[in-house]
Amino acid sequence: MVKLTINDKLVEVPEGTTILQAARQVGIKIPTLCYYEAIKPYGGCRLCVVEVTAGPRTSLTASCAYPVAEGIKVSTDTERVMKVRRLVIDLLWSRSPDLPILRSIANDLGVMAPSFPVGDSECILCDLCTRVCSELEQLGVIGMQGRGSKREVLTPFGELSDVCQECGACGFVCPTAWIHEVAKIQAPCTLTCPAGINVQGYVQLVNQGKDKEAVKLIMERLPLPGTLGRICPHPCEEECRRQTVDEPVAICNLKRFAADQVDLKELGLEKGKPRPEKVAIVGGGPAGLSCAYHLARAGYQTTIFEALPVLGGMLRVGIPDYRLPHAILQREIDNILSLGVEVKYNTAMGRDFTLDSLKKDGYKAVFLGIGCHVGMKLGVPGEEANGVMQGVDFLRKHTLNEPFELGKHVAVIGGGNVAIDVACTSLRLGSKVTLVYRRTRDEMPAFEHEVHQALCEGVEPLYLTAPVSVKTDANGKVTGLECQKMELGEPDKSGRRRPVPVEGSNFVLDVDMIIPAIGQRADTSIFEGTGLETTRWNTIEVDEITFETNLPGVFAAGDAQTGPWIAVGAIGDGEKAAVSIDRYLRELDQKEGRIKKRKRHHRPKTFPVGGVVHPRAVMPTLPPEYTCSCFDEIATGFTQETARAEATRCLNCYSDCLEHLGAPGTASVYKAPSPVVVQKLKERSAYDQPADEKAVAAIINKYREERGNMLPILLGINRTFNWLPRPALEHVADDLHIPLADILRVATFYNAFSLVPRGKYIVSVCLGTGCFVKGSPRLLDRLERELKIKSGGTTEDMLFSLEPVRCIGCCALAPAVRINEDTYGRLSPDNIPKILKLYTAQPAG
Amino acid sequence: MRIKTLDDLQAVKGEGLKLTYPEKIKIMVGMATCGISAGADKVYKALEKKITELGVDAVLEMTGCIGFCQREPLVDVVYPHRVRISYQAMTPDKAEAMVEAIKEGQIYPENLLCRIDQEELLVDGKVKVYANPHPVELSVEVPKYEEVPFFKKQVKVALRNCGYINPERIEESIGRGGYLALYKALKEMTPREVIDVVKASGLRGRGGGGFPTGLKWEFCYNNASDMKYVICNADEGDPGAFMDRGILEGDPHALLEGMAIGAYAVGAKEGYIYCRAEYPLALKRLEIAIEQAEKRGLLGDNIFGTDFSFRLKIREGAGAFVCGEETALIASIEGKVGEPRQRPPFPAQSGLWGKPTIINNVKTWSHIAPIIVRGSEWYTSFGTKQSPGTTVFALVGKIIDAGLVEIPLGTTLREMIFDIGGGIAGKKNFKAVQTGGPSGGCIPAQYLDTPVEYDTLGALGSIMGSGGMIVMDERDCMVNVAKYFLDFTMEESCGKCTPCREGTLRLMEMLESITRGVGTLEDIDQLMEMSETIKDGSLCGLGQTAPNPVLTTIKYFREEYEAHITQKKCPAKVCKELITFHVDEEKCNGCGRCRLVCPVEAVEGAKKELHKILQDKCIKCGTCFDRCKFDAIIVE
Repeated sequence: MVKLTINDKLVEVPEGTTILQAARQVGIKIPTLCYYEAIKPYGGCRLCVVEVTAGPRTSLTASCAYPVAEGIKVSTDTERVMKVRRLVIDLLWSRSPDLPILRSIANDLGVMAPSFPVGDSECILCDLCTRVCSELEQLGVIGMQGRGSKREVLTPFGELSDVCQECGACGFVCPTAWIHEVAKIQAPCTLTCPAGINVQGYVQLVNQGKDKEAVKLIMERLPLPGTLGRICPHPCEEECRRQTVDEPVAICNLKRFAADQVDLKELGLEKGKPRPEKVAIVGGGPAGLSCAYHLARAGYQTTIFEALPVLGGMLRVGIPDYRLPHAILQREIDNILSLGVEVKYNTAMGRDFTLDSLKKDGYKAVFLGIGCHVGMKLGVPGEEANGVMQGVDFLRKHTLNEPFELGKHVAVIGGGNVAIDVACTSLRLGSKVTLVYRRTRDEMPAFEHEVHQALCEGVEPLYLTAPVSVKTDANGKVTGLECQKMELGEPDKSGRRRPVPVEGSNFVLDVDMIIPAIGQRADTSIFEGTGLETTRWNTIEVDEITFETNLPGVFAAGDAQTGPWIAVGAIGDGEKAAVSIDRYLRELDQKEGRIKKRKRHHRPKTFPVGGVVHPRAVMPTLPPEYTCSCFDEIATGFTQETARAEATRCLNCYSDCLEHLGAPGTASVYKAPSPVVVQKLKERSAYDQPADEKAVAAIINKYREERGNMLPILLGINRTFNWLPRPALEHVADDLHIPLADILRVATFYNAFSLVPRGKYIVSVCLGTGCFVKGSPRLLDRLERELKIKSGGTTEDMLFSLEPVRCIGCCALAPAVRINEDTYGRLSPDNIPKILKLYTAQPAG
Repeated sequence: MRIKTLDDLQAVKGEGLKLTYPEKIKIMVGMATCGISAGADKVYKALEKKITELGVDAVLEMTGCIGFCQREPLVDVVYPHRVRISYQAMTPDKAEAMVEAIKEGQIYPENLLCRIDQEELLVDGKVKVYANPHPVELSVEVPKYEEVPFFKKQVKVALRNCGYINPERIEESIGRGGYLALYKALKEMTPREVIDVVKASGLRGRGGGGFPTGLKWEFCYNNASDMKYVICNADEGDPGAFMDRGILEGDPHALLEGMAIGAYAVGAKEGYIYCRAEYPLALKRLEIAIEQAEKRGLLGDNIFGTDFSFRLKIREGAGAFVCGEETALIASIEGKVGEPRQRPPFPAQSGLWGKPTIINNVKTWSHIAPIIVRGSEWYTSFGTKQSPGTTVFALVGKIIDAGLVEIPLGTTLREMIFDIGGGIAGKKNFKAVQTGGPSGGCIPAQYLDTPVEYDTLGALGSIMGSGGMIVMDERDCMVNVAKYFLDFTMEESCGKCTPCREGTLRLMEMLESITRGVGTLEDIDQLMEMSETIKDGSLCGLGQTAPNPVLTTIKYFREEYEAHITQKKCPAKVCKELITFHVDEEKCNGCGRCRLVCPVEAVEGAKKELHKILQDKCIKCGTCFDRCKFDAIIVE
């Protein structure tokens, strides 16, 4: 332990602690902009300076980089300290007048306005992003380039590096959010969303209080924002990088919040020019609705053929309204219909029409989105008994108010979301409910919060229990369910531990109704005879990019194509099918520019934990004692305050939306990002001459074994080529496994290097002091005029480059000019033309 | 032959002395960069040609710079057992004539600079006398070396061999006492004793900071580590300074030997010389020197048969002034950008690759060997109590005799400028002398009697620096000079810390508005206040000293700033926005010279008639002013 005093207070901290850390431990606030706990201190911003007395010396020092030492005296708030801090923040604020963080620190320090002519930079050159990228992530995707006030954060050659893992650590540590402009890559949430919604974009819009714009951005892709905002399993949140800090952003709840604030009628969705073609949408579930919505917006005459008396598919008849109030869904469906979509209710394929009849009726294309509405059987004896009802059937009958007989004690079988919905619905209708599941709660595929809700409301779980047979009375009415206890064995393919029956553990559960909810499938029997190909999983076979079936003009998506999946997936695929239908009808190439979406981002290995930790907002719910007996919506939604606060938790990874948000009202504002094109690893740029590659390889080999060899290698290349050609830099990067950004950082730091070709003759005017006082600036002026280039430039004929040199050490010959190896001393400006002539007259110097 | 014993060393010494002082006429050409730039290579070739042509029995040699750059190219003719004669401002024609004279047995009578009757063999503590017992009579009249004002007050320790030996031959260095100190240290002294001698000598870092060298070594010595490094800072970046170049090109072994001794003292096995790429000749001679020292066993394993092994590598700098700062220099050797980091930890605790490291400047290293052999008392007999010893300055600017001079510390500025340097060139008046490069300050006439020492210069707001001394006259605008230095530091700031990066930029803006005549008096106060804060708040030496030129020029030449602001005049007639060029109607005789040299055709007038400068075309380049022989161009 080390003892020191900070502001006369005795502090004891472990060795190796910095003054900044020690001060924070005792609650003394020291401002800083370039410090981040997880990476090495930098000491660059100088905002954290403190006065340190060590021995006889008192000096100002950056507290972030100063390790404590026994007996030192630290003062954090003397006038001397404040003076430096005020100047530093003033300088930074003047450079970047629009950054709120600078304003707030400046105001705290008593600087109320920038003192200097203001600039327009948004980067304060704290170097945090590049340091976190190379030091913590060891990637080196971005790097500082240039020196002094010319330094800036860049990607090599302005291109996004293929080594970028999109971890977003750079954006997380950036105190100004500016770095997002540099790395234009999609955030993991956006990349993950099966419907391709610009997730980050709408979260940011909610953050800014622009709910209407947020909904409009969502509706670019997803016509049912309020609906999905309630029931979407939100895979985006699983990838949300915020969870590497604490917990993911409550993205889905924010979507619901935004949708709840907005009247869809006021959005004024744009619609394309009407087109004459008629398109038939078979099935009005999420896939069909999405397809219809996008086709209608593209101008097509769209008709939905719906077997049921209502639209919405599983959203309507599979999800109870305490989770998704019917009115919410209906409002959004009505909005879709308002685009001119027609509906034929109670019209089922195979019964009321066929693919052929559609064609005859003038439909130029057909979309099949019939969903999965047939429940999977348990496969136990007695399953046909009176009192056994499939979960999907139960939910449909209930939501459509069809009559059915409810048991007093219901056994619901399964552990998925449908099972939970069935259980909770039965409970609300007055039954005692037992949930029979063959594994434990940990393995349940249903959402944890829904399981929790169900249990709170009074559903009784029976884990590690599997049905064996259905017991009936003489009338064939259910009297009980024979069950068997299970135990968990080895993990199966899905990674879950396989339940293994326990011999002799059978018992009978005394129930009068049994509702299996172990899965659904599509009713593909209706396609028999049409020639439509299906898979062995009983789903429709399609091209995975275009969603074309084997029948020309027939497309399919949704659960009927994927098997039971999530609504947002069906909606995304429905849109893709709509794009295909549009291309089909306009006879365009189906595949051009389309790729199978692939997730490309990775979690950072070592995310810099240590930022402001702010837990995720919890969705408020009605109490279970109340909800268990009625169908009121359980979740009540975020308040304004909660929603805005939650949205600020978004790390705003990379964010191409930032620039869109910068100019609201412009066409690009609501443009969703295009899918990421997964490129193969970039190839090295080609050398002009094959011999060049050998030359560079030789230079690299010469210094290969040396430590710190980058500078000698670059000097060698620079000398050979007279500049640093890009292929050579990439060559070095590949060969020595140094990130290109690191190489460019060095290459742009030293005067000797040039990243552009230079002239045959380097004309160096010496600007050493000896030459300066003897008039070398006038030589430079004259050279600029004679060569018609500015200092640092190269003549068009590539003969001369003009590069002032700091001092060539020939001060007694001042003022001097060096051209390649030749030095000319004691010059006056009118000697210049004569000297230049020596080089223009005889080309080979 | 590898040198393992003292006898071996003495044998090579004998060889070397024979090379340096052969038994026949030897012609030496000063072939350092400044000499070559002034045409020494052409002179050398002419000599070579003529010697062969005439079959003269003479040795032609090249040597480093003896320091008198103003008079380059310098050629010396050594007559064995008689005298050595120095010639100045030689040309190929004159060189040929000289060989002809030698062939005739005569002493070439033109371009004479001085005669040298004896040379000091500093390390040995002996004097090499050409003619015993008395100097010979010569047929020509030529001043003695010690009578030439430029040489008179100089004491050459670091420059002991520059201009006397061929720097590309280790034998000549050994001949004049080279590597004797290394032998003595390794065989007769413990590392501790070496450090004690250096401490007692009072040698302070000649790179500018003036930190006691022995103390630095002691810190490093006390930090136990499996690996330690010594580094020579040869990244001479100060504009207007070339002391290190002089040593590197004239006597590289002085530095090598010093480093080996330092490595032995602190326990280092490896060393680096970080030399700027702008010195190609220095780099070449260093390479040769290292190779020869390795061949002779004076670098490498088991030097002088002891357990001590030491390897030296050269690292080329790529042009960044900030790399003169020790932590930046280390980063640069590690292959990174030369960004300084905060100290502590000091390099002596954690330096190159995180290991204890000492960094000293070329000049500092070059002082080591004589101190070890001759002892600390001998060394402290030069200089002052606070600043013992000698140091090298590059005396340049508006001075009659520019060059490289080594003086005992405590010599006054006046002695340096007016005695050694011969005063101000061109009948102008002295205005200021700038020391310490961009980190230093401008010292006005009233302080000319200040002795040159670390603390005295510091008290004036300047610094000793690495040795640049630039003399300015009445035609130098001090605001413009401040701007010049600030432009330098602004461009050379690495950009890591805010005060230096952004602060210099803002100081520059204010200075620019003053030189454009749009500044205010408040600007001066703000410049001063900001300068002080930048000094206090910056991370490294660059930023901590960058405002010094601004502060000293305001301190000593405030009225010049005020003239720019209140009268919109540049008293030195430099700042373009504030001056105009006119023709003096009385003096102009219509020679037309100004019209011919004007690059923008801003002068009109028929031959033999009064000329006129067209103000709308004039770019104020000053060419006409320079060229007019009749002082007929007026600047106002």
